[in-house]
Amino acid sequence: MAVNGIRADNEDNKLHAELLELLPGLRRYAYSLCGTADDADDLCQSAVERILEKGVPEDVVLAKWAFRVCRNLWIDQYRATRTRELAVENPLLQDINISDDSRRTENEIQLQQVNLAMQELNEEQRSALSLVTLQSMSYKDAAEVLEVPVGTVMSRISRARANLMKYLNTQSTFAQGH
Amino acid sequence: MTISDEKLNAFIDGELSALEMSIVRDAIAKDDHIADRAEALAALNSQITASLSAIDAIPLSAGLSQVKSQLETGAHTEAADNVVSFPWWRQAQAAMTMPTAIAASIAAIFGFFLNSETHTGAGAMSDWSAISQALSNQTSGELVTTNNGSSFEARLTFLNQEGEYCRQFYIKTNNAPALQSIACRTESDWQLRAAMPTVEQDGYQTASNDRALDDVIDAMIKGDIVSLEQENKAIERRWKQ
Repeated sequence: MAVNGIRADNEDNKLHAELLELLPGLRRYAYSLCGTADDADDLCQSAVERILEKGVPEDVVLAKWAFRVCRNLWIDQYRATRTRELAVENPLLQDINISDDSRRTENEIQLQQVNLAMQELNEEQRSALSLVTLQSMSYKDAAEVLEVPVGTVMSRISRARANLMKYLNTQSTFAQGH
Repeated sequence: MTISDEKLNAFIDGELSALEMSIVRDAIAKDDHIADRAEALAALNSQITASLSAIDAIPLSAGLSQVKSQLETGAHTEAADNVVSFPWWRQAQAAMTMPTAIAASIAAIFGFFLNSETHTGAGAMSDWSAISQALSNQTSGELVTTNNGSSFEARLTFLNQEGEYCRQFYIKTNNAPALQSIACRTESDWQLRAAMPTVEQDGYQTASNDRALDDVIDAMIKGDIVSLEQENKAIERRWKQ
């Protein structure tokens, strides 16, 4: 792919190899944004295809760039849909009796609750938390992906975890009293 | 002592300076409330990781699977089949995501120097810290062997595309295959970027292993290999640019 300012054609093999390596992490990140495996795979696929199609600017680190592309695509294409779906899927609005669901272990239910709770966070907090916790990025690197100051990442992480705990406690109380 | 939530979160994420980490550690030791909060945050981290890693067990969609095949076809993987490379941000602890055999080898080398006389009394030092220390202080070509039979040798140093110092090094413990690895210096520590088991002949890897690792270095390197003189200066400057 020979485009001005874009990685040259002879680097395509390297790009493919790097993207292949990034794929599992990118998929997890997409999952944290979307909340469902189907949507995550669609988003991840779109992100990789976008990068292959448009190339990567020479002055960026691919790993950071890929996560940024993924996030921007999600903001453009998926957030509106997802927001509508959330109103329907909100567990607090659903008639779920967790204690009756004998097919799932307590651990599975807990993990499901965490996933649902993640979807209750706003995108900014969820992205920051996902990049740092799941991708093991430093605050500095996450700040570069999210294009915000490090202090903002620090603050978002703190609020995200506080909100998650609050949400999980509420959900636990709701389930017990249901 | 009051520790803000932001600071406690940064502590959990290892984002504070050594001094601040120490202050928070003291607070945790003295204040049950802070200790409980830190424990809850750490537990939450584990839950988040477990929850969102659940997708790893789900087969790829048809579309993503096709994209993956396309990437595999486009990538030159023949020479690097045996190499596990690490994205630039990943901590060395990410060994859990590697193929089992290599992960086991790396887990074993993390015990490098532990219980050796060189670091007696350094019980609190993490395993990676021992390797990191060797990377920080040894010039290339210096083979270091401990009393327990483990050995370490930095083989060469270079600057990568991001301008970080990177070092190829050899490491061998008694109970694990020898590894050729590459670690790069970030702001304050060395991060493992690639590792591969090596077939030794008189303590040195074979030509095919050389080639595989050369491919990785070729993809990373910018400019020439750092000379011994430059290496010594870098050690003196504690690898600061």
